[in-house]
Amino acid sequence: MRRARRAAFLAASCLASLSLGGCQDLFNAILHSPAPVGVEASDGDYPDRISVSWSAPDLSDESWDGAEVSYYEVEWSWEGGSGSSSHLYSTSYTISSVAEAEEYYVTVAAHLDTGETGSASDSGFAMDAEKLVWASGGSSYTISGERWYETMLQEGFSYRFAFSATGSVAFYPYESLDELHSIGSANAVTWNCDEEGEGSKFYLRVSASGYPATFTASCDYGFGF
Amino acid sequence: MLGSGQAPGLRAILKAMPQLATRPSRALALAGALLFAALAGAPPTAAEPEPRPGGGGPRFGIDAFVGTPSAFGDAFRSVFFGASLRYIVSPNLELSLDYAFMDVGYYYPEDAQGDSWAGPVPWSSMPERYEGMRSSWIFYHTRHFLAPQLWYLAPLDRFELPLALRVGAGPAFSFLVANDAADYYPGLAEAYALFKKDFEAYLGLSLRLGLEYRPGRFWRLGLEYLFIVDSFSGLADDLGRYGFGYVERSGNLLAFVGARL
Repeated sequence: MRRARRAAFLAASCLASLSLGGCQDLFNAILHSPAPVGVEASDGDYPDRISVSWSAPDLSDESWDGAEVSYYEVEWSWEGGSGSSSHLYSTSYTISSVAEAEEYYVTVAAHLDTGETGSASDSGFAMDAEKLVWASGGSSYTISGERWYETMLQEGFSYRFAFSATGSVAFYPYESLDELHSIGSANAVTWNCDEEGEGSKFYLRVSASGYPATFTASCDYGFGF
Repeated sequence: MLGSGQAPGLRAILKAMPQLATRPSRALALAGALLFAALAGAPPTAAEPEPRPGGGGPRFGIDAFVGTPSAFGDAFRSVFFGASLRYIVSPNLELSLDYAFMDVGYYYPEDAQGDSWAGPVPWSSMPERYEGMRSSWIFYHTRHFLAPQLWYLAPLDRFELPLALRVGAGPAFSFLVANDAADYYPGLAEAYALFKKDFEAYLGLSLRLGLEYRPGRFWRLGLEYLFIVDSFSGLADDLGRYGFGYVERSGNLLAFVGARL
């Protein structure tokens, strides 16, 4: 009965928190897991690395009876492989030389001097996005194959990409790799922006055929092309 | 409505300040004060001595206020909101840090090429083609007001009024915060830079004059004028030129409700 009540409380709390990270911390707290709290992996903050940070587990409960963290360990995996850190004695770590725009699943484990272990996870990625501006008459860019950009788009405006050969464009919310929309492959592609994105900021993944390829990005400013 | 406990306090206010009703604008200010008093619904504390901070009285306070960008002419067209954090040095002296979110200035492209941008304008002046896009519009700046203030308060206990006059002064800062969109739209960046060049971060003097009603030891309600002036000599010149008309020309009318802890 007590277990059922705890499970119900846990489910309700998870729904209320609306945050996976927060829910994970709550879950660990209720289950008395010695997991690190607030594990966060950076989302596109750096071009070639992922910064991971966390706080020490809450061991204030008397059931831990004075236990302390001996060391932390960070493990990560992505589509192309996996890796891990050595024993860590601080609450942050940097995964270096990571592939751009590749989602990394990161787990931080706290090892107690009692032999017990608790862990918590997050995902992150590195991003080397160039700024894409919407200049009067269009802005020209040269790429080889594929390139990531960051920009701001106004909902209700149309945005056109005219390629020297053919190309495609995929749109993502800022600091996320969850694709919103993709268009192409064609000589010119247009997207009528119907998303607010994350603060109206977006990542754009532009792919073009030809080497090197050029494209011109232009906006209709609400007047229509 | 008002109970028997409230009536004497309000009668005393009316009796003490009949002259305030001689001009329509001042009558409106008085009506506002009376409305606050009536809404407070708490017995007046005119005879209650003001507690001293050292004697366990309130030491901190917070006022929430709503104001007009200029005087009565704009009272119902546009308002701003703010808050004041206060430290009570003595019954007659307070320090405060006031913040107000003044307004949002919108920019818009005037042609399909994005060559020319207009703004800042209020949303009501935006072209019809952008109707319904206000909530997602990314081309704007916000204007903010920040003012550390020194206050002198003169309780009117001796007249058996649950009121206090408050006079404040201090530096005033007004500044703009632009949306990140200017980084991605060069036309917008030009329009914004042009406006900012004239605006800059405004530094002036904030002068305040108001009346607060004290329905209880821990509550304050009232009205006050806020004047932003470049200098005292400028204020003197304007007062000489416009006389009392300066109040209506340059005064921002604020209504506030405050708590004391």
